[in-house]
Amino acid sequence: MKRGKLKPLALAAALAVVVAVSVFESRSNPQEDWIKIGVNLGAPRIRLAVAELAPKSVEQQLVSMTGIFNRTVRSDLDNAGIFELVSRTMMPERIPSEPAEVVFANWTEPPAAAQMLVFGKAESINQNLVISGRLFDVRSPANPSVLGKRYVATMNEISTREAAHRFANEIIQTLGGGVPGIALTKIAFVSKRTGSEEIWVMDYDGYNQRPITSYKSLSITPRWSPDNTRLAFTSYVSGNPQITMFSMVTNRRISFPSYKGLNTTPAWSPDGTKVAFCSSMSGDPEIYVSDANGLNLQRLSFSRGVDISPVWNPKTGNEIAFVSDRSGSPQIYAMSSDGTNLRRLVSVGGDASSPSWSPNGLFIAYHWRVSETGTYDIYVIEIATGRIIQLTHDARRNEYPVWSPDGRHIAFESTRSGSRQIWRMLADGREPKQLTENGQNWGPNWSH
Amino acid sequence: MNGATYQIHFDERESIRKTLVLSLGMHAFLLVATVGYNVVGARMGGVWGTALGGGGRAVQVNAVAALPGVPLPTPMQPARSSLATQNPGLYKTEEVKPEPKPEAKEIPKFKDSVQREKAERINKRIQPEEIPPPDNAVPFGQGGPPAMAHSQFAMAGGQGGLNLGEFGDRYGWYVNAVRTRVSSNWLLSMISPNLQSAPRVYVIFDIARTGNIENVKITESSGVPEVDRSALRAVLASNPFGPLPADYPGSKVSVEIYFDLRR
Repeated sequence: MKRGKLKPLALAAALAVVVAVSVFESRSNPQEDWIKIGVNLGAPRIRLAVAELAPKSVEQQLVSMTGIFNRTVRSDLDNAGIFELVSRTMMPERIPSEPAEVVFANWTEPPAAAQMLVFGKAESINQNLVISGRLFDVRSPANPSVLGKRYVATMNEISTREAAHRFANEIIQTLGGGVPGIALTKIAFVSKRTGSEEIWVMDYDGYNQRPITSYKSLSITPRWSPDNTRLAFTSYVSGNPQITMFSMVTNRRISFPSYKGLNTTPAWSPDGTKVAFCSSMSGDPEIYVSDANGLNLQRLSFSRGVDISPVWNPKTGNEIAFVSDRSGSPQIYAMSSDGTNLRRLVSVGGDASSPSWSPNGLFIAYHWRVSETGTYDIYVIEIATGRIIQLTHDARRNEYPVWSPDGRHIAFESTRSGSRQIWRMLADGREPKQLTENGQNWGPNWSH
Repeated sequence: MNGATYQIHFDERESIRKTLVLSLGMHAFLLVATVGYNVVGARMGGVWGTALGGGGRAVQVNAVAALPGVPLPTPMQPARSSLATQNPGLYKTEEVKPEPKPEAKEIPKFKDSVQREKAERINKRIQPEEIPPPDNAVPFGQGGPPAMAHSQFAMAGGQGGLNLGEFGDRYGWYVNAVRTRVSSNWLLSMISPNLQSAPRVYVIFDIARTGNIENVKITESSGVPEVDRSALRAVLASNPFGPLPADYPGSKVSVEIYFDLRR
């Protein structure tokens, strides 16, 4: 009797709950949108049309500054490595400067066949250059606007180029899935163009090269601090090689302790609080680490032979890779930042040196002299698997690779053009570009 | 003993009548609930099954001629890839070859035909026969835009008078950017090289307004732990994405992404 009554009641209750839940569920989260996508073969590059901005008047200065802006934006987007730029000859004849002037079919159909379109206008207002730049998704004519930016620059090349770099960075970050662009980064390097080795700095695209030091001595191995306010480098100005701190804000040296013997190859920890470097204060070149102001000196490596060129894992900050010849020839080793857990990373013969840790912490780029051929080339090792990828080949000597902060580029020095110069390439080895031409230039380091 | 049997008999007769009444009542309640929901639901703005929606949670699959969002790569090997569409690529359309006559084939045994897709491990010593690309193969990524992105569907979530349609429809560039980023972070080298293919892994996560990733989950495993792990890593390594489009009103976007291992 009891069973007979309870069962249908329970059933009814359960049904009521089910109905109620389904009604509620269909009413909750009204604004939740879904993206459904798949990954299998890697994504093709985005086909981007960069229409030239038109100057709104014929002032000589405005026309020339607009030309600089156009060239800079185009070269930044070309360098980014994620776009396939539509060549100028494939673009429609009518270039828009206002949103209403965009004829979508002209851009989406071959030969342009673009997915995205960059356009805008340049005006001269109160002796200032005013740029209105836009990014349109031409494949969705109903809601094409992705970016609309306005930049005010003074009428000179440096200011105009900075505005162009900022606009390019916005586009790269928006379309590249959130990875910040590198158009505003700088590269420090060693140049002998004035007769002595001095530290120089240039924009990432090779423009605006300027000296930082003029010590008429030997200054090498520049390293940017993570906040880009300081450069640490090795200087022979006091007689023996010392670690030198240089403030990029005040353009002056900052005190850092000097030790006897060789002190070289400084390396910043990713939080900027510590500096690892090589010193022979105890007789044998070993890795030391201290605070950025020189306090709390600590020795990390203990082995016969040279231990040099430390570099921190920029992702975790608790590992240091360095070069050691304890096995007979220079090889790359890694250890924890307290000196424990020592292991050899590259276990093939030849000479491997100048490691540079990739920003995502997964790769180390280095240069390697293969004993059999005697060639110097850039390689990348994937740390987890030990897989080695060769990036340069058949191009004379290629040394001192260094990663860009977005992990998409590598700067290095090469003698392929006849003299030692700074080059830049994509991190898979494609599209090498020469950045310096005057005198001899080497030892690049990319700002953050 | 005898009494007990009688009682059971009696109980059974009683319960049939009761259940019948209750069942009728239940059906009536269901009918009222359905009709009532439709009336109330219509007044609240959502009607099930209307073509233009106007809200609700209807699954809406838009087949569009012009590509609004992402051209997804077809899940095939690059050499074997072919156009998803007959128009409007950069190449001339080839005439369709007549299909060869089907030959009589033995009907596969039931056991074989229901076998689950398995990860394919190859024996290194036996080199697989290379399949030459067909003459009319279009190199991957150069075939012009396919007429329809092959998985462009989403829940239409319009309410409060503003019907945005699909996220992917409106912000195709954002979807593309997400895919590019995750794809560039998917490291095939972390998967054993003798693993040639694996069933798809499905991962879901939310992108908050700031671009940060939340609630990462595997909803369908490939059955191969290393593939699952590499897919999770690819998503986590992409954190954060760019902020959601400024004019998008929602607070987050949910993403379902699958990883298709085909070497």
